[in-house]
Amino acid sequence: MRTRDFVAVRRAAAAAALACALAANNAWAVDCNTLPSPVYGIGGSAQKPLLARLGARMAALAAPRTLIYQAPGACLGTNAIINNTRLTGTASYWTAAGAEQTCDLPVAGQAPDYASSGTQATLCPGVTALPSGLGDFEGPVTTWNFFVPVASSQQSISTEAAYFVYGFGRDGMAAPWTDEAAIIRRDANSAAQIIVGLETGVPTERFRGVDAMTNGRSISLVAMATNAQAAIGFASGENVDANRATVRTLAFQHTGQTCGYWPDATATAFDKRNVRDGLYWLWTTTHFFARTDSTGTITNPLVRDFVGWFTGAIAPPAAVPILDLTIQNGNIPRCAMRVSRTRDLGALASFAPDAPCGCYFERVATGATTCAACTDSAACPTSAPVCRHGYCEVN
Amino acid sequence: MNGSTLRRLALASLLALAACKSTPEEAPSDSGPIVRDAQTDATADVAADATADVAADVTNDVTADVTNDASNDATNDVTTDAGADAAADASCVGDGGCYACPPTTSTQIITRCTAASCARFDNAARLPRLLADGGLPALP
Repeated sequence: MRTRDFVAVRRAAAAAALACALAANNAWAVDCNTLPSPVYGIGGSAQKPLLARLGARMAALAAPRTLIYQAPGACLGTNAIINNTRLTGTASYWTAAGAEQTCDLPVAGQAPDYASSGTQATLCPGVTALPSGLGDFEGPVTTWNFFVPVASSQQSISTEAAYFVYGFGRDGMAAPWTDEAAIIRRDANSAAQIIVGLETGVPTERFRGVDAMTNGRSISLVAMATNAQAAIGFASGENVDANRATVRTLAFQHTGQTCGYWPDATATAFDKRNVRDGLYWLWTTTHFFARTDSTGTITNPLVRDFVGWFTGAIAPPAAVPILDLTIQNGNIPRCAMRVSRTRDLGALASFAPDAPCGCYFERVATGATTCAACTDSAACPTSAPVCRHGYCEVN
Repeated sequence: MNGSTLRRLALASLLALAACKSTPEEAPSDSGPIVRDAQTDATADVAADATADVAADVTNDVTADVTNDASNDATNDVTTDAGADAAADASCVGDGGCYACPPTTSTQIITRCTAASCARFDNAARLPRLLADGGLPALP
């Protein structure tokens, strides 16, 4: 090859390498603020699957809206909305086809419009109360699951066992979970770790094991553990359910119970029956935090809409079937619950929703229900006289 | 609640357990609030350990409250409820120590007689570092 050609080839190679480097750094991602009606959020990775489903539907509306989300951790999100900390770097959004994309946030940063978390704000480090002008709106229920690789023989864990596993590590002698390289944890800003800490009494900053950083990585680390019997982790139920091919939820035996229960009626079901009935203890509601006016109304209309769809305060458009999205994601709308609590892991109370959707939940979650189908209440029996979402409910 | 009171409540539960059997009832309608669930074979294996569990679990509650920090409100709730439940109606103790009456408190809800399948974690057998009284040692 002649020298001139060699130089040309070298220049082309260098140009290609530069292009690759720029692409790897996401330099060509779209600017977030050029997307249609962007709404900026920050919070935990537990909510990301649900927000992905919602974001795709919002992007497909006739007047598209773009749900943008950064997931550094539940409490980092809560603190960001409280302190109005600007989001920087990149964030996720979803196309109408459901594809996750990345966009560039403004160089000067972007104030968050909402935050989402699997815990109440005051459980977060540094938060003693929500400031006035910031509202806490409760969305669907999420479970928190201990899980093991599918190859593990373990079936259940108790509050006390989790105390030894995460509070003592190897020295806890809670076999087979004694290898701290296979005990997967999160950090003090994680809703999952806050809930497990609240349940066990282990302070969130003193957990033993390997920090997985996100719910998704917790699952992959447990799933890929070389010693399946020794591996254990915890994450939000919807994330675990989406990975049942590789990990398996353990039945959980809360202090005072004599047997452990799965979130579902059986280890393989998807009905969330034991959560809805109160036998499965580890669940919380999803919290959305947003700025409000003096009447408590969310000021950002885009946030007000989608949070209202979840809470029931605003009827969603037909193109955003919020109940279906919630149920299909593995969450439980509050209208399908038969127990309630007023704070994370607080006492349970029997609960009868004003407009129950238990039958519809069962139909969507499992593909079947024993409830009578209906088109209006006249077709319903006296024992379940109200037709809701196509099924006869008790009220 | 002190240890003496809890011991009395545990004893009351044990006596009730010996005297009563739960009556299987229909599983609740999916669309209504919790009323009462059935005790079936699915949880029958728990029955053999029931007597010991009732006492041990109450003890665990007490110890956990002492050992764990005050932030563990959930455990406090359960312990408070447990005492009230046991004192309220000993005739509501069903097979395996489950709560066989319509549940009205948190502990009654999570310990009620149920047809749900379950997997017991035997704390006493599997946790060698439990204290002799079934309690939890302080964190290292």
